[in-house]
Amino acid sequence: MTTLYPFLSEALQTGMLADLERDWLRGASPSTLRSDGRYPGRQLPSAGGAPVRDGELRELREEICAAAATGDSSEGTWAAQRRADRAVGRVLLQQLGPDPSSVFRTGTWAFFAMVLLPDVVLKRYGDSKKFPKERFQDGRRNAFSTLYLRELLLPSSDSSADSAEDDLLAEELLQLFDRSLAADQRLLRAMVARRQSGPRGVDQRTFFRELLREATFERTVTMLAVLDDRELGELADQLVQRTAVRVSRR
Amino acid sequence: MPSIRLMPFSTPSFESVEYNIDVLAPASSPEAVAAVWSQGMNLSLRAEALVRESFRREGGLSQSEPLHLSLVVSCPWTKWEMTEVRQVDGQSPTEISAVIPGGSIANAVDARLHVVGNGNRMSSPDKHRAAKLWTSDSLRIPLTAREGKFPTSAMSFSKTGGLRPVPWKVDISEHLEAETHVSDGVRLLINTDFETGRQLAAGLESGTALDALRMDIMLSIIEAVAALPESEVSGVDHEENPLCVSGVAAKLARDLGLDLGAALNLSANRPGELRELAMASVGFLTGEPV
Repeated sequence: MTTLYPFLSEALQTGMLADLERDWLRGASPSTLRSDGRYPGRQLPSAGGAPVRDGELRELREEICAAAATGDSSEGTWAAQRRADRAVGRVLLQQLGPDPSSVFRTGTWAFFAMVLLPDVVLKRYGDSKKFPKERFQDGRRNAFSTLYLRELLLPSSDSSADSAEDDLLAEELLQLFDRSLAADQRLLRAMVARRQSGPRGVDQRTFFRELLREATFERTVTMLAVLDDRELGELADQLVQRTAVRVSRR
Repeated sequence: MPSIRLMPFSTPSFESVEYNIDVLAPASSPEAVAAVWSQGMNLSLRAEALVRESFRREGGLSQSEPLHLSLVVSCPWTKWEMTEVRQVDGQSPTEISAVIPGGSIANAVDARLHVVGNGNRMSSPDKHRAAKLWTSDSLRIPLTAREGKFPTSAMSFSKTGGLRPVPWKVDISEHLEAETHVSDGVRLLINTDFETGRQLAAGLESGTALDALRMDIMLSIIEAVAALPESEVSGVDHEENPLCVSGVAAKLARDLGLDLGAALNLSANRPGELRELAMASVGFLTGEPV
């Protein structure tokens, strides 16, 4: 039986965002935070499984707080933050499970960000000049959903997690989840495996970003599912060549 | 007339393929799925396409050129996608069925057909391998209906633990407040250990058991709201917030011909009378009207 997680209606989210922004402006801790996840007005899907227990939500919160805290090292660097992001992604996948059906219902990621973990969101993104509204809402900028997806689709064990190079490409990898490309596991892995194949003298991140763009276009014209692994590998090499030509011409 | 598309190879017209995509389960039409789908439920689709004779002519393809039909089902939220492929066989329609795992999808899925073959490149004599020569319109299948259904979970009580062997239980949250949304505060648990429970869960039960269940829901919710502090209940605007527990209790009271205050008072002081009203309201065991 699947687990039912709470979600927030649009109206409730609007009110909470206003509260959160006011707290942020004052430098106060977020007033929407409930460490057991209980918030009046939250909803649960009306059918399908069993509601999550308060204790499970509390445990999820504790584990995420612990994982996020690994980014607070004295280094205070980009690398430490990336490591913490990865750790948070691992906790999310471990605790929420590998079936995205239960957590991608509209308003559920907003619940995690606004009710269960708003302090974690603000610690990670609250230093900017603007209130980080999108980090609380559903969608690609949500503080947690992309970390969960990244861990689900491209587990840290499969890529060079925690290495400097992984940090370098992290932004590009996250962009990838905006694209339909993320749905094709074979292509995704083929691209990640070729991320260092750019011509000498070209910035790796630029090359990888352009490679993903090339692959996204290829998916619109070619049905990759009918290619066998060898053919897909050949195509991936062609994409690398095409990208290399394109970035060198600049 | 060949359609104008920014493809690097010749593409036959949209009309050169006749197709349809149907939902087989859990409903009979794409629009009806949302009303019956619940989280984790598989979705079964069937697609059929007939590649007309004009297709090969328009795409500059020989009769012997192999073609494939592919069905792509994707969920933009979970970034999940599956592709099923069948070889297109001569002049007869090609059929593809697919079962979409319920655990991978949320909110809505999109289904789309492609006819795939080696495309004739415009710029060079090379072939474009596995070219999407033709693409259908995308069919969106919404999964999340208006949350109008009563919050229900069907389960085996004997396997869940802590539950007595009864056909159902109206479970009230111990954290109930007047403003708690009904989906969060109240849940009907149906015991699938019993035939009656299985019938109720499948929506097939319509007799006395369903009447008894409706009475139980009415009385349980009114009773739960009656146990809350009066000031808390009176502070809620039920027109603005009809789906909070006290709003639902007010609606149930109206169904019994009472206002909320009167129903809460009966529940606290004369519960037998309230039960009588509920029995009369659902027509419990009255049989066919004479």
